[in-house]
Amino acid sequence: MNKQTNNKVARSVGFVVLLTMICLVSFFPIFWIFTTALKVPADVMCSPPKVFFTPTLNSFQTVLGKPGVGTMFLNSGVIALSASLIVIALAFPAAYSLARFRMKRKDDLAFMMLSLKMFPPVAVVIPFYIMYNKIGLYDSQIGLILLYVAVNIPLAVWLLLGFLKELPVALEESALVDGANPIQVLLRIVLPLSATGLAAVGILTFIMCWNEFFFALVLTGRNTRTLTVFLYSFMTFREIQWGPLMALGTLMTLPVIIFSVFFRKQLIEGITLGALKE
Amino acid sequence: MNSLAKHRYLFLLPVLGYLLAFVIFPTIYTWKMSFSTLGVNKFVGLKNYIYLAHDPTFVQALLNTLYLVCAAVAIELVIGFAIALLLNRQFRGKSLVFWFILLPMIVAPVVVGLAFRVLYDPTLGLVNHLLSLIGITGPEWLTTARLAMPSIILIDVWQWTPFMVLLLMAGLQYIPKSIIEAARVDGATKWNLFRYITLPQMKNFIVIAVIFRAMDCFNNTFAQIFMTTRGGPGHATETLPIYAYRTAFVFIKFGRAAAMSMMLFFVILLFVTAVRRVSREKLMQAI
Repeated sequence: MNKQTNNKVARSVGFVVLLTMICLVSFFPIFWIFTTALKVPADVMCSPPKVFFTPTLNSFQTVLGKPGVGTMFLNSGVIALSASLIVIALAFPAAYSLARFRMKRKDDLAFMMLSLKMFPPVAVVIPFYIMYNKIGLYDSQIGLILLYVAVNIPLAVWLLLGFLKELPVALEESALVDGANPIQVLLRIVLPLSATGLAAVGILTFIMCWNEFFFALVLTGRNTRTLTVFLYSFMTFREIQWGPLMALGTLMTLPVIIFSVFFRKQLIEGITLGALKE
Repeated sequence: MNSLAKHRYLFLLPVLGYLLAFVIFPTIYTWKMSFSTLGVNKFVGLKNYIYLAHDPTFVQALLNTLYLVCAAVAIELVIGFAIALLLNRQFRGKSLVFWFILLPMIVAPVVVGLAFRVLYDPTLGLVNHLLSLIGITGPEWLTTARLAMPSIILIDVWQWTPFMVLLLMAGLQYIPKSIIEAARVDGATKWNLFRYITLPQMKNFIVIAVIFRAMDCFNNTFAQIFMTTRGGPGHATETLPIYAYRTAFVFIKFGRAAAMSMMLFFVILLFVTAVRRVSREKLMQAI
């Protein structure tokens, strides 16, 4: 009896230790960015790395003092926000139609949209680069927004489809029986009920665009540089300034982490493709 | 009853038109461009592809890409499966653990690259400091040819093992409890349970997880490499996306870069087909 309980205790202790390790490993590099951002240069360059140090906001001041940083924050924000809104506006009707109406080759369609993930971004971006240079969309916010919308639509439709399928149809049907106009039903009943789904998709899209590097590297120039590209170009200066770099990394990561606190479940579902529900 | 049903295809039109214009059409253009030089103006037949076949850097980039994807996805699958099995039970604080697991996936890849660059740094990095505590002199992780790619793989494993965990956990929930109970009553050992029940039941989920992770790893492991090694030292971590990027936007050889990105597309297609063939299951059945 005693031995058995001992065994049980040992196992649950082991379980907790493993869980703690998983969380620590997951969080550590992010934690390291945050703490390095709070160190003074001497502490950053110190080997062995200092565990206890006096935190300062110097690095944040340095990075925020760089010319154009405010604009770049704005660029990243405006581009990500516009792309998310357009994605939702386009994806919602499509997902609604797929969820409610009978359609030929519906499964093929859904599969086709997901298989767009196979298309290499390099293959997509080269024609855009050439075309944008011709029609003057190179180094413009609109140019990048248009591309981000394209990249994020398939997943958005897929996720909203899963979400709309789970909404009760009865409410819509009774409204239609009562003589409501279908467009009204869509706007007054379905849209409000989908608010959480739309928010989740919007936030996931926002994060994807906010974090995006490759397209931004190719298609932005002096006027529209986003934070990810700035972080990269900031690093290739002659002498790497770890502190300010980490401060910028922190500022880029904090909004994402704050979102994740409130929308953990939706983000997990979104990233795992709605947990493949069907 | 719903009069919108008549116009159901109309609702899809914006999305389909958009994807056609912004993804499909550009890729077709790139396809055409891979047989030309300077845009699609001058047709040169297979010249770009023949050039690539004789370009040792391209061959190395192709092998590097396969090395990265195969190693990273395999490691992520094994560790991810183990963690998924561990977490597949009720316990307090489960949602907190999930929040921690979510974090690596939503941090910007450039920031991830930056973080690991510091951690790997030979003089101020924590990795070598920890190694020195147990008496090992750490190597220069990112600038030694032999170690650079494994270091990149480790970054990918850190960032994307959570994806495997979440996807496989979703799969584990679909295994009927009754089968497991029945097997347990019949005296199946833990290993037998895993080998003859969990694993076969999870086959479809494993295939989907591997395919999605691999597609992403082929195409989107860009920023992490760009921030840490930029393809170096030499060409040790040069992958197809990196090399295609440099060919197009540094060397300004669009035709060649187009051919390269088409090769990448076919490699992915081949990989996905191979995985599906091996599993002998239709992907859609499980999705």
